[in-house]
Amino acid sequence: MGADAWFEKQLDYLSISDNEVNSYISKYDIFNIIHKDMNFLWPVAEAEGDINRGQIFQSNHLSGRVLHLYTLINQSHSKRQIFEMMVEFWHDHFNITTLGDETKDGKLDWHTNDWNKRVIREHALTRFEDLLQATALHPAMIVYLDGELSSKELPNENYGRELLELHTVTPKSGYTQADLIDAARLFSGLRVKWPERWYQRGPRPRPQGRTFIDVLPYATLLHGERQNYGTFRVMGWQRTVTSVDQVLPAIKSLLNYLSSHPETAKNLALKLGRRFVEDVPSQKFINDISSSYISNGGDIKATLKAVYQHTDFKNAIGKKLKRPGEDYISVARSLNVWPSFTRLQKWQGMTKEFSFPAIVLNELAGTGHSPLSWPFPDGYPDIAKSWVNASHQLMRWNIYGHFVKGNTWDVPKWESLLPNRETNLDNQINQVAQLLLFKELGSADLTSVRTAVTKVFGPNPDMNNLYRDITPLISRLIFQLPVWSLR
Amino acid sequence: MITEEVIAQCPEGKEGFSRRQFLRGIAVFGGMTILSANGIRYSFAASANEVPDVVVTLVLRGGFDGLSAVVPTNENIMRQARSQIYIPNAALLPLNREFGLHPALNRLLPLWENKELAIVNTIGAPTHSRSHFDEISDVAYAAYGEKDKRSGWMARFLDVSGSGSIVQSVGIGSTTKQLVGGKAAPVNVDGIKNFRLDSIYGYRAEDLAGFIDETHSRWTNIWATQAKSTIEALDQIAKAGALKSTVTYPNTGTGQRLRDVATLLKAGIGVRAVDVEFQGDWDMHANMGTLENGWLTSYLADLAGSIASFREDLGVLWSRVTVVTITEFGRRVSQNQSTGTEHGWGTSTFVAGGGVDGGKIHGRFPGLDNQQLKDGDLVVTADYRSLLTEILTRRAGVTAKGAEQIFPNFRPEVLSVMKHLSDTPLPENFPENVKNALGNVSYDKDLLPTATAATAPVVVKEVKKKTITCVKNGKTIKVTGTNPKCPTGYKIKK
Repeated sequence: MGADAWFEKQLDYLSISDNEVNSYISKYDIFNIIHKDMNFLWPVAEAEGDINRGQIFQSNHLSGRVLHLYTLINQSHSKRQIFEMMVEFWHDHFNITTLGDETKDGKLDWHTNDWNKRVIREHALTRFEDLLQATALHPAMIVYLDGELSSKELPNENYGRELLELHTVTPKSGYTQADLIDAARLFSGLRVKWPERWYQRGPRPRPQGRTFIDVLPYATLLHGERQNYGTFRVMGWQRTVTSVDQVLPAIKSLLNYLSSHPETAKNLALKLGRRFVEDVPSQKFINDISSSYISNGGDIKATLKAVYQHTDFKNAIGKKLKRPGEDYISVARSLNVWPSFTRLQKWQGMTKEFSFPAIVLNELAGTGHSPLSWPFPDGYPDIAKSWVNASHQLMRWNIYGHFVKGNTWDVPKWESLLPNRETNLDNQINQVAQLLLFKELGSADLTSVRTAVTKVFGPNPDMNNLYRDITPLISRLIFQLPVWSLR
Repeated sequence: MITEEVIAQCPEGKEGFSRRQFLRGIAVFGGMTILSANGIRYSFAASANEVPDVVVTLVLRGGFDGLSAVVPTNENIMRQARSQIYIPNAALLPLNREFGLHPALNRLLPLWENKELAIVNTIGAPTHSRSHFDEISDVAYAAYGEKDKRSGWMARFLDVSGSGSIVQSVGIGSTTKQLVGGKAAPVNVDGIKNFRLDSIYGYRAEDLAGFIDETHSRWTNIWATQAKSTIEALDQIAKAGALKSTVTYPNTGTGQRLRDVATLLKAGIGVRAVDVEFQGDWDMHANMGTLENGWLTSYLADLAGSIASFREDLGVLWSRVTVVTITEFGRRVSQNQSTGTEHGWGTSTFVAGGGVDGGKIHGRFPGLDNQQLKDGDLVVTADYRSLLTEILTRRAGVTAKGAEQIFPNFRPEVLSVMKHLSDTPLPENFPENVKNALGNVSYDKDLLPTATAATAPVVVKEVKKKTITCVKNGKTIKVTGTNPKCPTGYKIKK
């Protein structure tokens, strides 16, 4: 299949079967909570009998951890590569934090998996407006950006601000504090629709009032008494809302306006360029991609196609430094290894034992780039200099060693990865280079690798040991080369 | 190679750029996290002439009870407020007429007597939310009134000072992330002994380091450039780690962290700022323990012992180090029903180092009478940013203008806790390698903040939640909020 055909097929991602990933996922009970909303999770948590001891999903960030593993497995093994890249892209763009202190005392944990499924994965390759709307109304975003603290008199500005600043038009558009406050006021009535039992046991009283409207029947409601009414003005957009049933249409209208704003188009073009082309995309790239976004009505697939066809993209090879997470999954992908489930770990606070490769997630967390774990609303940084420092580098280098030895993921099956039984060291080095880099090494690098290998195994290594230690060492050294660090 | 912008920042070929300056760009972070500023920010050392202090923040996470550490000798009031946990005057180590030190802090006494330790009352953040989550983040961001809270004050300090170095020692990553904000994502390894390259299949670590150095020399992008300095950092830290300290530290996480910090400072790799998180949670809501032992006593002994050992270990380097304790808030004056205390506001702060105007209690204690408290809490009489500003300006080479960038929307008051750098000449036997690594900062007393002391800190924004009780037909509910109101039909219960 040629590159163009491959790309087209990738965009039509539902036509690509993902049996390997699916059968792996189905083997482990722990993934049952994936793609579930809180109405499923709450009874499960209660059935575990631990809910009084700190609510398992919250205190251990179980949902976040399982989601990280699920994400990692998809990133390293899914055949839907473009789709997975866009899932990551949107998780960064609409960042929520799924682990640690920034999860709003764990309240976010009930929603992270549903967010992943119904918001990000569902809309990753649809229209930006649909995606934006899904994010705005989902309880994960409401909790994350303090919508629950919003009231009529004191609308919380967090969501209003990030909606303008990060999700859509950015400060370049010149919006004012008044725009921001009107946006915040418009969203002031949105509330999470917690299960009845949550209110009984949970930290917050049931909202009092008479007018509740379902926004998402399972998860979000509009609290008529907390909602602001009147005329809202956000940049060039204006709408008068006099009753509760006009709120949702007004929200949708505002999001439609923002989605089609030229500054939103530029923001997305810049970010796509930064993700897929280079740290500082050219002005021409930004102009071209943003006009393509506009002319296609914010269609994500069409916009990606424009990226793919752009000259800058064609010339992008070697211009991006892999972020740690990308480095990590690209090693797993090239060695075709899976997280090792051999260790049974008892999950603290759970009555049942289940196996879970915590070691893999801990290793990835060590690089500072776990999926969905950036503690700020702006998503993980995407330029090289944010990731280049001594600690990161050392961590990444050592991780290559863990992979080739099979310390955390399964041991690589070298003999099936490398079909040619080479008897010549240089040939074997280049066979590994082909597997990992899709090309042979330059002569200087080849010499460096050969010198290193012969330092350990002597000038004429016993090629009978080829797959026991010579090949793992060769791989370790090739991962170590600067060329591997680039995309 | 990566991008033109980044390439343009690469130091290669720049005149006057030395290996030494380059290494200053390596930062050492963590518990330990080694975070560098990419190896590309390097110090624009001005023509000036003072060797700056290394600023060490010791974070006491959970809310530090100043009243249990620096205890008012007004025993009657203390006994009334804290019948089960007050410390009798007879047990205190006297500091002055009004205050005594908790006996578990006895290892701090020699520092106090040597005038190397000061206490500042009553320090705190401008907000009074009593929320761990809000406060510890906000304290790290230190950008009250700014809408963009994505970089911490320590990151801004390093930007302003032109230093690329930062050492952090943290137990929990989130604090680190907040301190440095979006600057870079820090990584933790648990101690300098783990900052090493693994050997593999008989290929020794030093050979692998040589391989990395050789293969990365063929490239000029920031990754390759960083690799060279990382290799050098490995070497330096390994050498530093091999310098066995003979000083005995408390056998605690905090003690070992400070030992690592001392080791790195002695190695002279250009570290300018250190953030050490005390290992342990000061959030003592219940069972604080007794005067002899228990939670509080063991923590205080660890705190005092770690600082005292650190000072002893540093020797002459101590003349260019300032250690300051930081916490999110103090604790309620009155104890609760579980021999603990609730979240409060103001607290006492320790500042130790060679440039401290020590042996004194600075600042203003707001008083313990009910009408002097705010909702039962000690009032903050000095914003913690004033203290930090003073440390950064008087000891670390930051100008008044620089301080404005580090602490936006803030007018610091002069507390006179710190001596001017120019009034504390560098000791003659100060090691040359550390001196060179720290470099020089321009220092002009006239450019520093001179505002007279305000009577109270400027409160930017007070976010305070109240809980009220509402009743209707015998049914009782609680409503919490910044301005809580009872729902329709309910009446507030007074």
